[in-house]
Amino acid sequence: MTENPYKVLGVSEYATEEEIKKAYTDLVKKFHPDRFKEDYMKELSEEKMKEINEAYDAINKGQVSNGYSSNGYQNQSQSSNNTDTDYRLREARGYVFNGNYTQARKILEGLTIREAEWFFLMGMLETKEGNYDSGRYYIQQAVKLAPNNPEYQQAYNQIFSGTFFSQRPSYEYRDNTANTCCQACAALWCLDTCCECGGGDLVHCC
Amino acid sequence: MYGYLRLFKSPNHENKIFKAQYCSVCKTIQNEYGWVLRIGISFEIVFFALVCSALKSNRFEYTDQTCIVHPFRKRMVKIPSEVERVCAHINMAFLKGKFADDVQDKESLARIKRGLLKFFFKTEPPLLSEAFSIVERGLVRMNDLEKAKLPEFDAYSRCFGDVLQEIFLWACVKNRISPSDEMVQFSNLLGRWIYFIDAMDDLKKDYQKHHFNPLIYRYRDTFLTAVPLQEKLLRVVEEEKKRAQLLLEHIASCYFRFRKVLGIYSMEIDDIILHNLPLITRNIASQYKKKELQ
Repeated sequence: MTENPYKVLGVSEYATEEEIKKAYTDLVKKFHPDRFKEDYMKELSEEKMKEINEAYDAINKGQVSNGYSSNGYQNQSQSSNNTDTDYRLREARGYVFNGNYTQARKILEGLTIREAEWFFLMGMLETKEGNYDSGRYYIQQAVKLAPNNPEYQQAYNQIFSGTFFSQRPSYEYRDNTANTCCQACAALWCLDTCCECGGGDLVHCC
Repeated sequence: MYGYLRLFKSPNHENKIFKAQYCSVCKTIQNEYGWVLRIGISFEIVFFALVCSALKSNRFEYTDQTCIVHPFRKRMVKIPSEVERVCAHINMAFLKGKFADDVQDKESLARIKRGLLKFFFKTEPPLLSEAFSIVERGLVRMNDLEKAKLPEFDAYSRCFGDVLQEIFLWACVKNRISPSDEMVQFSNLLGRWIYFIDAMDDLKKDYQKHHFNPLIYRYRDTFLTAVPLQEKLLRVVEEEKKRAQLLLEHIASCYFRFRKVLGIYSMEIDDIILHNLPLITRNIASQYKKKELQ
């Protein structure tokens, strides 16, 4: 199972045992194969049930430990003083934003203490590599852990609205040489006119 | 491959370079594999050849020639070089891979395709073997993923993106091109886009014929709800609009980082990347809406 079990059950990582159990029974009722007549739908629902059961088992047996388990966030207080982790995160941030994704992934996957910054960088890395679903998931976790961080919030909004990569030159960029020349000439002419009004004259003919 | 990366009539110019590139790849396929396999030419590979030609050299040399499809009017044909030869083999590697995959899946006309495989690919040129081994490895990875029936769409599209990236790198080595990181990522993202568009395009057909489609697994919850099929498809398309937008913007932002080295080819590549890709995506997404209106 590769997906976050809490996400599969549709509950928060901080959900109580009762909430998890309720979400599980609701999902079982909703997707049980007996509810479907067609073989193809039965097959789909069986796959879904398998996923739900695996997620429920993983949470109950305490197998989930990759930062989203119930005890994953308990490391937060320890990590705030952990300078080595901070240094590694800063290093990873540099790699993520400079496009060295292999190195960034290596560092991030090697870190066991996973806080908001770790989730944010992992989300940025996944998104920049083209894995938008997991990118969105990680940044969502970062926002949940640090709701007041404007950088995380902005990244989340951009991914959610599909504008994450929008800061590029527009298509009209193609003719920008001509435009720049025209704009420069026009500016020069305007300045010259102003200068004449003010008594000076840069170009005598106009 | 799939024929999605096609060219529409541009309002700005006649796309002469793309057409000349198409004819050049087509003629190279004829020289290497005979005239029948020319029908297997794909737009994606022509685009691929266009990018490689631009990266290799900014010169564009052509002759005017007739062919079996255009016997009377002479057409501009880019003088074939090593780029076209490598791309012709890549085209055939993907065609062979498609046939082999269909035969394995017992798709329609599987017997005929098996016969064609035996007939046309009896002897393999070394370049085809090399290209096909990359495609074959990708197909094996894809089959494993399909068997696992993962709900993560990115896992499948990444697999196809990796195949295109590997092929691109191989073509670069063969043509002595040193690609930048942006170019490599561009090829990967383009592969992801092709896979995404193919999944979107076949969504209804795959659901009705009970074929594998990663979007059905991604939106299993939606497909298991008791609403009409049209409604399910519309919900999926609505959700996937964000992925489409991210992907298109991502491709464009990558492209702008190396566009300046493409020289005279950049106008034609601009048309495909910045106009056609969004247009094709919109057309495929809106096909489900159109049917509802009818």
